[in-house]
Amino acid sequence: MSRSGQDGPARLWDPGAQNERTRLAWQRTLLSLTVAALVVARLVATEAMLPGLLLGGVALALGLGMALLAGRRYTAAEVAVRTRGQLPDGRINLVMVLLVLTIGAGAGLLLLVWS
Amino acid sequence: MPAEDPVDRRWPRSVYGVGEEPDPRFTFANERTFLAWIRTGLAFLTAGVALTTIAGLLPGRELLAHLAAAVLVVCGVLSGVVALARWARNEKALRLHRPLPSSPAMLLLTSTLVLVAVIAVVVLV
Repeated sequence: MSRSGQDGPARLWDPGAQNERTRLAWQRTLLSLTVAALVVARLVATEAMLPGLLLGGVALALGLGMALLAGRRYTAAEVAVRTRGQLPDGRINLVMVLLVLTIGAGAGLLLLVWS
Repeated sequence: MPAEDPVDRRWPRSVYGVGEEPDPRFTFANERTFLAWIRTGLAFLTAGVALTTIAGLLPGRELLAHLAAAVLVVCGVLSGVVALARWARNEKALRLHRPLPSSPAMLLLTSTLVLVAVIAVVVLV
């Protein structure tokens, strides 16, 4: 099987595989993120029911929203790879870190008030 | 023939403003590494939270348990920060065809994890 215009290692590279692996990594990460946020929310709920439920709702909504963004990232990257355009940038990475910091703040709070 | 490059407005400019596009495989790999750091941070946070909730079941060692939980939470937050910092530095090095920077943070976090685990074994057993 030959691909026109390519030879050597370039012919063996499936343009979609790395992107797909990255997409799956996003799914794994967002799952961990949502679970961690829900754990914190659940524990907050034992101390304060309504804020805990609210946090749980926000966690689920954010998880869903990020999943949609990650899906669009995959599609954009797929197009970029095949047209030699620009790959997606690091904005969503910053959002992820801010979410981790938020969960960290929640964990810190639990540490102080849990008994 | 690559498409005509539009203006590059990607963030952060400190990364995308220099060098040239690396092999996409490296960019994807760098991103997966970033996500792995994030998952590591989340695991630290979850462990810290779990330890906090069972601290009450360890009579006489509650303070130590809370201390260890605090260390784990700090490691979690640190992992998150390191994730972004390393991703940016790696991407920039890839764009400039320079060697990838080393990570002292990795050694620090691994040592901390081992230390907490050893203390946990000694205290709980």
